[in-house]
Amino acid sequence: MLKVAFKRILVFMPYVAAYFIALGLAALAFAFFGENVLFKDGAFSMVKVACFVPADNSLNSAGFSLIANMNSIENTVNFVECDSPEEVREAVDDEEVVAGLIIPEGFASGIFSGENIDLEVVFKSADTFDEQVVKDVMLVLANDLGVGQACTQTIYTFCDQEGVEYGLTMDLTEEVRTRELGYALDRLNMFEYESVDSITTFTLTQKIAGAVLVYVLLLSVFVFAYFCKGSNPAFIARAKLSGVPPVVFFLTEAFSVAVMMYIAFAVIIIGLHFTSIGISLMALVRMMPIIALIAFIVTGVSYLFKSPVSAAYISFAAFTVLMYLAGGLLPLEFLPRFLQEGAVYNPLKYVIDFTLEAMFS
Amino acid sequence: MITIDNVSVKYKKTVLTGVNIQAQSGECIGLLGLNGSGKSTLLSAIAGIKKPASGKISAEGKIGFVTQENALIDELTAYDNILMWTSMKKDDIMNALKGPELSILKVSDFINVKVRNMSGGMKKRLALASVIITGPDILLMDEPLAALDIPAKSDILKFIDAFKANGGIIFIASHEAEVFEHCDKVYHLKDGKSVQIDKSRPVAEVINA
Repeated sequence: MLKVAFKRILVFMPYVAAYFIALGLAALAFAFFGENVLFKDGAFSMVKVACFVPADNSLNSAGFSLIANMNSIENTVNFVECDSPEEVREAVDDEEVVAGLIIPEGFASGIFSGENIDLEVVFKSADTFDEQVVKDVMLVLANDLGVGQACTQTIYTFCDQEGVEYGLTMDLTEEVRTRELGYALDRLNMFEYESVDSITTFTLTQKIAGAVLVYVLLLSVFVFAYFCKGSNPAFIARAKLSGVPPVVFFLTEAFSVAVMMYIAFAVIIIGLHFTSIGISLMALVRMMPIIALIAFIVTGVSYLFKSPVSAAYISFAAFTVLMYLAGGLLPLEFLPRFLQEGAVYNPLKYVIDFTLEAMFS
Repeated sequence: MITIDNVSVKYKKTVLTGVNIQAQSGECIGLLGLNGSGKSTLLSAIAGIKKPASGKISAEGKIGFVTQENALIDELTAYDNILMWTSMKKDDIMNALKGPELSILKVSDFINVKVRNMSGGMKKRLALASVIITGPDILLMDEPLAALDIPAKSDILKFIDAFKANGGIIFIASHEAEVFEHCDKVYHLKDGKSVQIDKSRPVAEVINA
């Protein structure tokens, strides 16, 4: 039976390849360019944060731009610049954004004058995972700027008290700033410190590519429903009378599906490895459990329906709905609040998260 | 020998009650009835695939079941489809196909042809051969002649006679009158009951009675 299973894999592989080429290429095109289609200005994230950066000192915008362009921030937050602090607060109140950051006027000059001016972070209660992440990030960001401010102020106060020339402390000030900046730029330290899930480190392109890959694998029911014979009474009868237990028949077919799926997946991953999307070849190893799981799901679904056509269409409808609810095809922020909250109960969300970790981490 | 003793089987809308049939070695039993009368359900119960609600089926020997839908994989050749269900070596398979019983089915003529390129008759011959090669003592056939051309029908009927002659027991569910000419006993399934009928009676007359 195993020998024939191997032959079946060989003769069926062209159909599998045709499916993955047809749907996989379209899906990858969506992954690469979906960001530009879905979001204005090619934003990296759907999570919006309003910010007010006063123009009274060029250091404000320079410092803000430095932090906003950090990988971890850039991939997590889409900053919307406002003209006034009130506009930021209104945007948060109206839930147009999930949080607001207000840099008060005189913040930068206050660092040097010793005047203590606090940053303001505005947000409402966090409901979704992404919102919670943003709040964590905002707090870190505010904390980071505050620490920088305090350090600089301390140095200048020390100089005043000890009668030391400010000029003599320039080296010390520079060192403190460098270290503080290094800390801020080290996103791994920052996220570890704040216990923020590393999922935030993926770009939107990576998120779409990972989710779409899971979707393409799941929808392979379209082709594998014709491969799997477990729903056919003639084969069930045959297996039973030949002394092959149904579970062995299922496992043999699920294993065959997993092998074919893995071969197609490996070709895709090796191809993507040479693109700018940043897939590690280690994904070939790390994705094995996910491929096995999806192969079992696909085989199981094929066994549920007598006709391959029914299996294909019903699973298409079911998986598409589940993918939307898991935030796989569109960011969850596009969905009503109750659906966003319900995503934590959707197993596909965790399959997608694991896939992202396996492919891009 | 096979004994069906007061068996009742339920499957979807089909309900068979109190079926009693006995078959000795070398006998062929025909099952006649309208669609949904329970012919396939009874064969499944004999095969052990469906459990009777009551009564007992005792069969001595290995059972082979040729279902109405052929259990064949389109992408594979005839040889691979046979290999799927047996651990025999290639030479043994080829020798068996050329043996006195299986040679009637002429499967070795198209052993390397893929199923998707076969005619209905070739598929039925292959389905039957792939069951027979496993050496059953009791053969269950569900509509074996449906949609077959004349040469294929003729060969399958010849095979039935050969299988009987070798001491095998055959149960055939069919609508085809010519099948029943090769049967020793014919049972009419109607309203959940089985009644033995005179096999010489025209099928249409029995069905419409």
